[in-house]
Amino acid sequence: MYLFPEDMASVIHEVPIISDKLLIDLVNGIQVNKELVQFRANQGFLSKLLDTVLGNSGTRQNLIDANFTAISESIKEYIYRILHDLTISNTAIAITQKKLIETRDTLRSHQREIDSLNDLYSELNSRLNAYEQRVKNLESQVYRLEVIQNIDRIITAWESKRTYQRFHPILQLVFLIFELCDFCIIQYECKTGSVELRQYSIDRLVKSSDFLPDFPVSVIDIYNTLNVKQNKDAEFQYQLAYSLLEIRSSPITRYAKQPYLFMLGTTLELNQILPSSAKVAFEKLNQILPSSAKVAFEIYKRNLSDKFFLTVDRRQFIETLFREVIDDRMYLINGGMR
Amino acid sequence: MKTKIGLVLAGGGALGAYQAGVAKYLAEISFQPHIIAGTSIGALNGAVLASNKDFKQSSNLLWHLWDEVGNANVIRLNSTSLVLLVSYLTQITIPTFRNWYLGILKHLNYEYKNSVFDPKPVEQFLRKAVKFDDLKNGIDLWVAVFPSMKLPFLRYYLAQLAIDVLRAKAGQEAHWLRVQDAKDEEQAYNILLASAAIPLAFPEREINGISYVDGAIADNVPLGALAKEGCTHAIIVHLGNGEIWNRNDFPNQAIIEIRAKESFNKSGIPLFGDAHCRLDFSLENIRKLRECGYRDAEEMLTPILHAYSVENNYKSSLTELSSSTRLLLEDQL
Repeated sequence: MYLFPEDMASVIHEVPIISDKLLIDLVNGIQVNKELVQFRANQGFLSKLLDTVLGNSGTRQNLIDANFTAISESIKEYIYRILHDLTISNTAIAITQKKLIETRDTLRSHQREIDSLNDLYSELNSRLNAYEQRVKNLESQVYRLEVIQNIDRIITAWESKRTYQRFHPILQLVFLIFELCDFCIIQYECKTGSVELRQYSIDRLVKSSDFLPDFPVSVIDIYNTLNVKQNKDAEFQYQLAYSLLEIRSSPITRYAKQPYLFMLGTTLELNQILPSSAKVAFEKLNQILPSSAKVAFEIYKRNLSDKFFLTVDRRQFIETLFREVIDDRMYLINGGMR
Repeated sequence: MKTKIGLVLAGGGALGAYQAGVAKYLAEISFQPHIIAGTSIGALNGAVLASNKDFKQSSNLLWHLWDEVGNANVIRLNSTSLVLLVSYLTQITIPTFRNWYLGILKHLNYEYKNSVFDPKPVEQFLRKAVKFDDLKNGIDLWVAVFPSMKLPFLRYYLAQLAIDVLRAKAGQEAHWLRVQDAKDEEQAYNILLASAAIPLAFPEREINGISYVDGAIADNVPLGALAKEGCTHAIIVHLGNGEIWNRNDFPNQAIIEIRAKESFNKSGIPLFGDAHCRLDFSLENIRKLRECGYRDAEEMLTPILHAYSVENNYKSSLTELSSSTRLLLEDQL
């Protein structure tokens, strides 16, 4: 059972009755006094006279005074209570401010800790990066050494005449370059982006290629030596080399940048397709059959370009071959055949 | 301290319709009293309101009952009232006139009545409006009645009234009777009718050997009955303008007085005008009074409800502040 609407009813139970009375005395007391004052103001003469005679007028005035006193008391109590509550509020604000200052100090201290931790983190991070870089460098050095070992192993095997020995020395050199590029250099360059091992390989090859003259000589002359076929076994090897080095069936974009390899492949091809009887026939006509290498050169010059060094020394020859092979491999890796 | 909320309905004859309007507004704001007290018409209104523990329903019933009061002409003059009035004056001047007068009335088949108004329609109406069983099981209802001094040698009712008034002035207090304590139905209605037994207008009622008349002679606002029962809050509905009633006599109760803003006495003539507005049971007047009651209750309670709302917010914020501050103090790093 509630005096006021449900939401108000809960309030009544929360507020002590003394506070309830204060509130009601204040608001309703004013209303009652207003009514009494209004009544007196509206009284007619006869009514006023009768009230005066009966003493009601005085009683009513006393009632107004008593109500006024009660209202004043209520206001006083309210002011005391509000002041008391104000003290609570002020104390609460003071405590809150104190706590805020403490919190601010703590936050600042934490900020400092965070800053120093950040510095430490940056320091550690840079050190870690440095270590990581060092490890990477070491790894790349180890890898480089592994590749160098492989290069050395391949070249040493050839020097020791364990590989390619049945081929003509020029062809041995070419196959050796193929092996070096395919199994060491290409992989190393793709992984590290470094081309430093090209020179190392070339140096090793130059050093070991005594069959090539040290002085400048025409590439045609070098390839002319390929004409010699000693025995049946050599014939088979020649066939094999011709098959491996055949280049004209490749797209022109590929062999356009490989004059030495083109000349080599074409020389081998011409040597293969021109029988010895052709030479005899030429001689009977008092004409000299041009060498296959010369013909290969002419084909390349006419169809592609003559802008390459035809006369080279050992190093230049090996360098050019090496570059042609490795460029061709890179071209293939980068999708040149598509 | 347990909250006990009371409703006090003052007496005032036809002005009682005003209380129906007040009750309607109170019901609308979900008011629900634990205990009710009334004097005179306030007691009869109180009986209707107390008969149902659901205040919304009972206030609605009261509102409509007053329509019936206006339509049914419940309050009507006795057929012998005029003759009676003349007889009062004659009895005072000619002592032997009484016997002669009674003989004539008997001869003319007039039943002798000692009141201006016929009590039967009122009683019938009350019995129809308020069922004894409902009242018995309803909200506690206290009524104020005044013990009339019945002197066997004094047959002059005006004189008896004067003595009663003097006794009240001299300090004779009204009696507070709890209707639910009545030993039977008859006594319960007698208690209610005794409280409304305006001297001369309605006959006195005898309860437990004591003759009672309208309690308004000594206590028109029987809050004392409720204070005695531990009432902590009360709404008083006055019937009259500029009522002299001191709320400060009850320092332990939170009291809301509802007073009429408009003047009931439209003529402005003292005594006659006051008496006229208390006896005007016309439907038009009843409706007007009910509207006034509703409006006044709303106007007086709205600021109080608003004050409660402000107080509530204030308390809540302070409680929240205190508890959060306590939390701050207790929360150590």
